[in-house]
Parts: sequence; C-alpha cells; structure tokens
Amino acid sequence: MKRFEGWLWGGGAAVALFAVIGFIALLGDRGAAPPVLPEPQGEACLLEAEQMRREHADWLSDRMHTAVRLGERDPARSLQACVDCHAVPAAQRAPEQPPMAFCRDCHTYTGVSIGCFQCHNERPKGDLAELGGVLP
Amino acid sequence: MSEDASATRTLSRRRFLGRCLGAGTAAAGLLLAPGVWLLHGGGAAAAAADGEPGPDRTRSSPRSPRWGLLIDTQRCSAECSACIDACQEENGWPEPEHPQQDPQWIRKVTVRGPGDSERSLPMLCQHCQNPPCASVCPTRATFRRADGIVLVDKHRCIGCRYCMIACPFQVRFMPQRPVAEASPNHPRGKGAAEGCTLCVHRVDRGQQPACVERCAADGHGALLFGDLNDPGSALSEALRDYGGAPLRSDLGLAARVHYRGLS
Amino acid sequence: MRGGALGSVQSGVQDDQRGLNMAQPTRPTHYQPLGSPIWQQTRQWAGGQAPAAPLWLFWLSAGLAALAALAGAAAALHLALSGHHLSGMGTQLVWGIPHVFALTLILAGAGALVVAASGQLTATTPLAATTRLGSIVASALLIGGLAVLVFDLGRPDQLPVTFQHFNPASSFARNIFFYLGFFAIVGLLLWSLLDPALARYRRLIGWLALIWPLLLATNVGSIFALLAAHEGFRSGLLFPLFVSAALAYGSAVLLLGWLAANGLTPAVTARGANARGTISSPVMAPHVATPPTATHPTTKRLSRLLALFLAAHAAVLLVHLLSLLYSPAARDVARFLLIDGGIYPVLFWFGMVAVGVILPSLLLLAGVIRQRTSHFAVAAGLVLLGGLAHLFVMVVGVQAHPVALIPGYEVTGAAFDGEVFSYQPTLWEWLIGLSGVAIAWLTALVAVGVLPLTPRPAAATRGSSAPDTLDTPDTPASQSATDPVD
Ligand code: HEC
Ligand code: HEC
Ligand code: HEC
Repeated sequence: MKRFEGWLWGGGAAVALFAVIGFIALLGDRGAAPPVLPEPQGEACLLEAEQMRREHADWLSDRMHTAVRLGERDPARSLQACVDCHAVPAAQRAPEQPPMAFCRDCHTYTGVSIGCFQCHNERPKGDLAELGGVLP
Repeated sequence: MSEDASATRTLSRRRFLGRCLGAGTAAAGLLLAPGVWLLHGGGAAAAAADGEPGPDRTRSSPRSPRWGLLIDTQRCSAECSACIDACQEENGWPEPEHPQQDPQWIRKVTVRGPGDSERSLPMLCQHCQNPPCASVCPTRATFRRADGIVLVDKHRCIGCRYCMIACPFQVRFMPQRPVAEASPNHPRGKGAAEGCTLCVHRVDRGQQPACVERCAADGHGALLFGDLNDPGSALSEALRDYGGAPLRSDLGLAARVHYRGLS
Repeated sequence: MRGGALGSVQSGVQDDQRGLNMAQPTRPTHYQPLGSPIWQQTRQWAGGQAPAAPLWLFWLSAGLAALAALAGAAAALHLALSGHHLSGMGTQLVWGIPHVFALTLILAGAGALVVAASGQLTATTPLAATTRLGSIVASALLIGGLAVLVFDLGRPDQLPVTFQHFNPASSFARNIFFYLGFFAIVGLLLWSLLDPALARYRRLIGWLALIWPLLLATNVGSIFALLAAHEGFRSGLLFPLFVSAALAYGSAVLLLGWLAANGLTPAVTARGANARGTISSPVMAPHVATPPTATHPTTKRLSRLLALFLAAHAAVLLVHLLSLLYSPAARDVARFLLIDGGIYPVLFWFGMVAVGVILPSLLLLAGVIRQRTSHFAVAAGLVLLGGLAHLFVMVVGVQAHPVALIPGYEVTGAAFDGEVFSYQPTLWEWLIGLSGVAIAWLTALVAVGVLPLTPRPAAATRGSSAPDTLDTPDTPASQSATDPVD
C-alpha cells in the first residue's frame, strides 16, 4: 500500500486541481450573454426553431447518411439549403465575418467545433449568382 | 545437442518446432483462404454490399438502374478537352498546378496499340462492379451505390490512400493543397479521397453527367450515358450494335465504363 | 560443431534445476521486484556497484528520443494543417518513407513477440530470459509503427471513424483488429509472467503470443499481396515473405534490445570487472563492451535465431524475385526494381542484399567465432537497415513503376501515365518516419527502466560479489514458492 501512496496523493491533487479550475471557469462564464445570431432569410426553419436548435446535429448527420449513402438526395433539406437561408449575404458581411457566422457564433458560445465548412461551400446561392453561378 | 529436455513436461525443441509448423500452416491457411477469395473478386462485391441499411445493394434488381458510360475512342479527338473543362466547372476542381499531385477527375491519355494506331481517350473512374477501392477501404468510406456509382463518403474518409494504391486506373485522388473554395455541387477538402462521381448530383436529378452533355454540345459526341439494366436504353443498344468493352477485364472488375474501338 | 552447442551451454545447470523441481518449467533467471524504477535503483545502490551504463545516458537517450518523437508529431501536424503537397508523394506514389518505417517497425514488433513467446514456451532454454523484454520491445515497436501510420494520414482527426465503421475485406481494418489483439496478448503475457496466479495459463498464453503476431505479419503482407492493380505486389509469395521478414527483423531487434537493456540495468557488474557472463551494452555504453557477453547463452541463442531467420528470409526473397522474373506481366517491374530503375536496384543490391543479408551473415559468423558482442549488435543493426532498404524498394519502388492501364497498349498522358514517378522524400516525411523509431525507443526505454524486464544476477540484489553467470539458478525461495506446479 505504502508504495502507491505517492500515486494516490498525486491523483487526488490532479482531481482537486481539475475541480478548482472548472469552478473558476464556471464563475468566469457567469456574465457570458448568448450571441445575437444573424437574421435568417426565409419564413421559417425546416423544423420548429426550438426543435432545430436541439436536434440539428443528429438531423444533419441523418441527412448526411441518407443523401450520400442511400442516394436520397433532397436539395431542400441539404446543408446547402441551411447555407442559403442562414448565410449572411456578401453585402451585409463584416470584414472578418464568415458567411456562416450563424453557426459559428452559437457554436463558439456553446463550445462546439464543426469542420463541415472545410469542405462544404458556405456562400449562399445568391452570392454565387453574382459570380455567374460558377466558382472561380 | 544433448536431448535433455525430452524427459520433462517442457517442450523439446523438436516437438516445439513441429507444433509451430502445424500451427503456422493452419494459421496461414486461415489467412490465405479469404485472400484467395478476395483476389477472385468475391470480396469486392461483399465489401460494397453489406453493412449498410436500405435497399438490397448486391444484386441487380431488374427495376433499379445501372448507370454506365460508353466512350467511343474513334470519335474522341486528341485536341479536344471539353469533358475536362465541363468536369472542372461542375465539380469545382482547379486546373492541376502539379499534375503528379493534384486531382484530375478526368484526364486525357494517348493509347498506342499493337498496330501503331493511336487513340486519345478520357480516363475517369470506371465505376467497377467489383471496385478494389471499396474492398480495401478500412472504414467503408468508398462504396458502390445500388445504381452502380462508386462514391466516397468523405465524412468517413481518414485519408489513408489505400484506395489510391488499389485502383488499377489511377483515377483516385487526394487534394493535397488546401481547397480554395468548393463548388456547391461537390464539397471538397484536403486530405479526403475523391474521384469522378459520374455527377451523381445531376444523375439523381435526372440529368446527364456534365462531361457527357458538354461532349455532345462542344465536343465530338464520343460519350454516351445510360442505363445498362434497361435493354431499350440508347446505351444498351449502342453496346449491342457496335460493341465496346470495359478495361482490365482480366482483373474481374466488371467496369461500367466501356470503351469502343480499342481492339 | 559449434552449432551443436546451441542451448546446451547451460544444460548442466538446467538439469540440476530440473532435478529439484521436475514438473515446472525452470525459470533460472530472476528480476527486479516490481515498482523499483531504474533511477531509484541506482540511488539505492550508489554505494555498491556502478551501473554498466551510466544513468545520464538513460536520460540523454530518453530525452533525445522524446525530442525526435515530438518533431515527428509536429511534422504530422504541419502536414495535416498545410497539406500533403509538402511531402514528396503524389497520385501514383501514395505511400513513401513514413510507410517504409511503419512497416519495418510493425514487422519487427511482430517478429520480436514470436521470439519472446517461444521463450515462454520453451522455458528451459536461454530464450526464456527474453520473454519479458521481448514482449515489451514488441509492443513498443508496434506503438512506434502505428504512430507513424496515424501521423501519415490525410485526415488524422478522423481516426475515431476507424473504430466506428469496419470493413473486414480491408487488410487495414483487419489489421486494427490484429493490433488490438497484439496489445491485449502482450498484456496477458506480462501479467502471466509477473503474477503467479496466472502461471498455470503461461503455456496457453505463450501459444497465443506465438501465433498471433504470425497472423499479424501475414495480414500485413496481405495489404500488398492482394493489390491486383500492381504487378509488383500481387503475389501469394508476399505472405511468407512478410512472415520471414518479421522473424528476421524481430530477432534482430530483440538481440539489440537484449544487449542494450542489459547495459542499462544497474545490476550488471562494474565496468571492467570481467566476471564471466557480464552483459554490457555496446549500444548504450560502447566503452564497457566486454567479450564474455558474446558467450552468454541468451545472446548466443538470439544470434543463432537471427542467422536462421535471415537465411530463411533470403530464401523466400529469392523465390519471390524468381517468380517476379518468370511471370510475363511482372517482368517489366522486376527489371525496374532489379536492373534499370535508378535508385531502386542500387538500394536493393547494396542495401538489402549486401548490407542486409551478406554482411550480417558474415558478422554473425565472426561474432560466434571471435566471441564479440559488438559483432552481434552491428549485425542486428544491419539487418534492420537492410529491411528498411528492402521495404523501400518493395513498397515505394513498385509504386514508382508506372501502372499498366491497358495491358498491351502503350499509354502516355499529360500528367503521369506511363512515366516513372520520381519520388523525392521531404524532410517532413523523414521526421515522421524517424519519429516512429524514436517513439518505439522511448517506450522501450521507459518500460525497461520501470518494469523488471531483464534478468539480473541474484548476487547483485544482496550486494555480494559479482555473479558468475546471469542465469544463476539459485532462485530466491519466495519465487519458487509462488511458482505453482501445473
Ligand atoms: C427556408 C429557410 C431556412 C432553411 C432552409 C433553414 N433554416 Fe434554420 N431557420 C430559419 C428561420 C427563419 C429561423 C428562425 C425561426 C424562428 O426564430 O422561429 C431559423 C432558425 C434556426 C435555428 C434556431 C436559431 C436560434 O435562434 O436559436 C437553428 C439552429 C437553425 N435554424 C438551423 C438550421 C439548419 C441546421 C438548417 C439546415 C438543415 C436550417 N436551419 C435550414 C430559416 C431556415
Ligand atoms: C442556437 C445555437 C446553435 C446554432 C445556431 C447552430 N448550432 Fe450546431 N450545435 C449547437 C450545439 C449546442 C451543439 C452540440 C449539441 C449536440 O451535439 O447535439 C451543436 C452541434 C452541432 C453539430 C455536431 C457537432 C459534433 O461534433 O457532434 C453539427 C454538425 C452542427 N451543430 C451544425 C450546425 C450548423 C451547420 C449550423 C448552422 C446552420 C448550426 N449547427 C447552428 C448549437 C447551435
Ligand atoms: C471532407 C469533406 C467534407 C466534410 C468535412 C463534410 N462533408 Fe458533408 N459532404 C461531402 C461530400 C463530398 C458530400 C456529397 C455531396 C454529393 O454527393 O452531392 C457531402 C454531403 C453532405 C450532405 C448531403 C448533401 C445533400 O445534398 O443533401 C450533408 C447533409 C452533409 N454533407 C453534411 C455535412 C456536415 C453536417 C458536416 C460537418 C459535420 C459535413 N458534411 C462535413 C464532403 C464533406
């Protein structure tokens, strides 16, 4: 037992440190206000806004599977559809703002990181039309 | 050596070696059997087939289409690159800066035959019935759809490049440079394998692949797209009337892209 | 003949032991107690004997290895962030230097476990002393090799996907299964060695640990053997070739590890004290290499195994080359690899054949005759270098050779069709490849430092005079008592 005492102390100290840092982080977060998200374009979201807020991760993942692997593509429910409604049009964008600031702002607030727009286009069809519909 | 160990319960070396040989043979047999089966193309079909929910993806049900392509090498001209331009615009891949590294979903090659006849033809994903790329993919990112189109589910791709080394036609690519901006038609990112999708987004809308359309409009009408399962389709008729064969039939790939005028 | 002495050097001693305890495999060697890492041991023995390899060498070597490992990780991060165009690879040649290192490490790991497990099964032979060390070295090598493979992925962040979706037709996916099993079996093996409660399963676990890495090596071979696209790969002979390669590299690396680890362990007699059976390390501490090490039965057995496996490997390789040359489809690529392929024939004949087979064979022979440890160590190192060269030729060379898109036709194109790919590995690839070696070395070092892996003379524990041989059979009473009779 004696041999492991050192380890036990070390483990205890690590847990304590974690708890303290976590507590401080929570205290620091008290004042954080939810982000004001950019206005969406359309009338209503694909689902109830409340439901979309809660379930969009699973919903997107399901669409991803159904569209790509099962071949049931539906432009109205694709990721590009989200982009078309939720992207900030080029004219209204602040210099450093990505088109899909809508997703980013909320994810920064909630501590989520997604890589979807490393591949997926994040400019709305409107933007692209100005470029002649064809990308450079 | 002195045979000292035989009296004890520990193994004598001879018995040990004997057992090793036995175990080794059994193990090798176990491992080789699936290998041989794979070499004969059984694995490819199985790999593309199982694990996914949804409709039966193994057997060609008579109702589901089987998309195919016929490339008439007698019409294709060496100077023309209409199909390549169309593909670049549609799927948003740029002109390769470093041809050895950068993706070229469709490229033109010159083929010199036994009779010194020279042909120019486009090389693209052959959409094999038994795609080696799909059987080697560790995560089943590469798969064959029910209608025969071989796709990469990039959401699953880890970038191991096994499919690239397995493809006999070198029509698998991995964008190595950061992708400037992807086309809305096809998301692309560095590190994920990709290749011709037969313009799956257009085919699912009932359109023809971009290259086929452009070849008919600006090129020489050398590409014909259609349903191999439908005996009345223009593709099936052309294959019946004029012939055409897939490449590397020696490997048992049963490619869906056919070439006419090669032999 | 000298070969006749294989294993019988100790037979007198072992027979004695067996007389005392007929029913159990004798374990003439014994180890540090658990939980006394190397740095504490030295302190404890500061007044006693100096370690053969000074402790600072341990820290220096661990530090350098850690640096190299970090450099590899940084290179991987850099490639992942900036793109793989910074590597020399392309569409035609997709696996380069990193894969060569990874394959060598993984094969060596598999082979090392085979040898270690055979020590477990034939517990009376001198190989038994290598089981603990061998299993740790084996998993260290596997960890190093797998790290390289992960570092080289196009999207390393996607790694979790490999555990969510599994394609049994893919050799890579099957390998994941074999790798996990490998670590589990090494864990079992060590457990069975360290915990007397599991002693009755030692043989079962030993067999598992013998067969599993052989399957693993075969499956690694299947990565290439089943690639129909390249005539240079597709061949059933790649299965035995990879197994024999694994055995050769594995016994080489275990021999190196054995020599190095024994130089590290403080229990070894003071430098210069030429007690018989002293093991001191030419790798860790060249200045204390003493000739008697070469006559230690374990060293001898390992070096003979290496010679045997190397010969087997050369034989399989010869058959493989002949089959390539005889098959009309593969003749072109065989020519390329062996005669006119630029760097590849040079690496093959000079790197693989001369440095990897002929030279080590001669050295092993000389080492036996002249009883030089250093000969063994250099021979083992050369075998591994030859392995790297061979895998480079076999993996990279075959890819560099253009694929026959349409057999019977000459295909040319604007990009790469019909052309030899000229592969120029960049710094990043070397860093990633070498980091695998560093990670394996670091893992093994730490394990050797922390776990009781190498046998040591009983005398040293008691602080008495230098021992006669390492395999002193006077096992402490406590150990005999806990070894159950099975
Ligand atoms: C037709 C246009 C349209 C499309 C397409 C669309 N949305 Fe919406 N979305 C809206 C509108 C309008 C709202 C605001 C609704 C409200 O506040 O009641 C909204 C609200 C949301 C919200 C809640 C935001 C908040 O204020 O908390 C989320 C999350 C969301 N959408 C995600 C998505 C995702 C993910 C997609 C793609 C699958 C998508 N939307 C597609 C129009 C759209
Ligand atoms: C109102 C805040 C909010 C908005 C707006 C929002 N998200 Fe999210 N998102 C979240 C939260 C919270 C999670 C984590 C919860 C979960 O995984 O279910 C999440 C998770 C995700 C995930 C899964 C991430 C993972 O690693 O599992 C994806 C993908 C995603 N969001 C996509 C989007 C896209 C695309 C948009 C913009 C169209 C968007 N989200 C807009 C709050 C938001
Ligand atoms: C490596 C590149 C890549 C990344 C990263 C990526 N995707 Fe995709 N995604 C694709 C490709 C390629 C397609 C197939 C498009 C096609 O064939 O039409 C696709 C298709 C989709 C589709 C179906 C499109 C449709 O038309 O219905 C959805 C939904 C989707 N992705 C969601 C996501 C989400 C959510 C994320 C982030 C978690 C993501 N993708 C990340 C490459 C990517």
